[in-house]
Amino acid sequence: MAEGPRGAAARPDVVPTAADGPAAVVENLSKSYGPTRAVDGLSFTVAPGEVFALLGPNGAGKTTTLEILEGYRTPDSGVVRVLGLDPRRAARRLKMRTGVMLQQDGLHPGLTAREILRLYASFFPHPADPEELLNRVGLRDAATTRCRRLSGGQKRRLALAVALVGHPELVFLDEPTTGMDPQARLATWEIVRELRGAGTTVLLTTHLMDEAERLADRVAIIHHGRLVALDTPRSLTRDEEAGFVRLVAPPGLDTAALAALPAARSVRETEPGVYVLETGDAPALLAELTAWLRDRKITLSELRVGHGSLEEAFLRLIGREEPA
Amino acid sequence: MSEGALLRSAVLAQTRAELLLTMRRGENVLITMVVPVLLLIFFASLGIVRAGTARPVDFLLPGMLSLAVIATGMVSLGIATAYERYYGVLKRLGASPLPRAGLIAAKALSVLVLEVLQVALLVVIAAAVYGWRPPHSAAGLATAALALLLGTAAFAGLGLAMATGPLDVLGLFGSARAEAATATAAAQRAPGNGGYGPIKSAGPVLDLPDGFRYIRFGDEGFEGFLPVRRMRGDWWELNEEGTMLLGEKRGGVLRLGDPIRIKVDRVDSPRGRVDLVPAA
Repeated sequence: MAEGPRGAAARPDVVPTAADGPAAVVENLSKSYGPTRAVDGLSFTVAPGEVFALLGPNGAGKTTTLEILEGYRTPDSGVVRVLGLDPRRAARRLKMRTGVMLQQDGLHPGLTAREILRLYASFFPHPADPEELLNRVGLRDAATTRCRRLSGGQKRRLALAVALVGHPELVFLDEPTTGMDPQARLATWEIVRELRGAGTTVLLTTHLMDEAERLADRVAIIHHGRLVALDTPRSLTRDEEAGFVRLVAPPGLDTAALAALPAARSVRETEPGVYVLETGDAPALLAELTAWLRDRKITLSELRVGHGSLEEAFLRLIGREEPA
Repeated sequence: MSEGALLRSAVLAQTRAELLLTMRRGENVLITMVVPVLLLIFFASLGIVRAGTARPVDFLLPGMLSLAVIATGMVSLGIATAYERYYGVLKRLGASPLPRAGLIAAKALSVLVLEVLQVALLVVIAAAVYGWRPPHSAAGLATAALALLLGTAAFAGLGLAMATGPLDVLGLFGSARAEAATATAAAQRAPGNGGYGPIKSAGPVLDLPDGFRYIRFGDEGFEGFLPVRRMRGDWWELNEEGTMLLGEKRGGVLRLGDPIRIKVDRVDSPRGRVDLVPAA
């Protein structure tokens, strides 16, 4: 009964059917810590098989929400359901069916990556093969390294493997790629996509726009514990009327000269080497921009045209609430 | 696999991990195995203990067995568990299907295994080298076994309480938390009243003798200290990598680069020091 229609735990790749109901439900959830309202009347529903991102600045209430769903914390008011069950009352049953990656990895520094995976595998009736998982997260060469000697990114990847070792139906990932290098981040994104392909529901928190934009089916933007927006990344960015050209090139380009290009409205170097040009005429700007770069023999490593990124949408939505 | 069988194998796997960890920690082996044996040999050989019994070993062996129980149950278990808490291992295990009782059972089992080894080691040395003989009565053996079990329960409970529970206030095993943070930062504006600046980078861990923790904020020409103890709402700990402060009770997180509202508390011109406090 606890296994539900998915009882075929021996075939953990079985896609949950629509009859399973929502993977997670949060209804009018509130949680305060002393005078601080960490979560304030939050509601959303996560459909089975989707990748759902909670996006927001730090302190927005993402982790608190996730930890209530994981059963670590009790809500002050409101209702949460995970796979149709109460996370506090059905704790053990849910722990068999969910995987968790916390912000702090919680890996024992004195055990090796392989030992930790095998230990966690022993807690589940039909665990994944630890060796296969180590390969998948790119830790085969570090399998016999004790955790205290792993890099921050390696620990993060091992924590991800631990979250997946029980063949979970639903995975909670709290800031999964924080502390990872870009390569490990891409590999992690690939794993999340594979999970979705296998029908696993993923609920993740992030404060990285591109992570939410590239990974999530739907994004809930949270600010001060409240839901600011909830939609697909595409819909969230549709409202940005201006076009953008985003390019990655060597840092320190002359932004004044870029802004002087006829089709450019404004230029910002959002982080060293990343330039965002606002324009009303993207094709014209592209022609001017590439000519400008060619004349100066500047190498371009990435170029993207868009109608505003999730970042613009986010700043617009969050900025509205910021008291100057 | 039935639920009971799964639980048993989970507890055994956890016990195995506990024992592996104990053996890998040099100081644990020292305090649980080496110290009681050395003390036994030292005092039994020198014969400086006048116990009123025929031979010193008759007095020393029970004492060393007690020492072994205290070392394993309280000191070794307590320190190990305190570190596990510090590293978030206990929290992570809390999200796994291994129940809390299963974890405690695994810790208890590993303590018992260690004690069997200790008792065997001490008894064999006492018997082989110093001619100690076990009591002839079954009642004597039963009393000894009962005393060992009660002592184990008492001291293991004390060790776990010190690591995670109400006795933690004593800070006996708090060395792991004595780390303090310095983080340099560039403020977006001068740290005037209500200044608003992100933490940009972390300096080395700084262990101040009075236990105060500081985050340093700065702007071109401005640097100030925000003692972490002045941050309200939680007990803030620096994470292992030194990149974020974790609110221990309430789960808040403050990362490098996070903006934090600050207010100038005091300017100490002679020393060129600016004290900051969190702005409400």
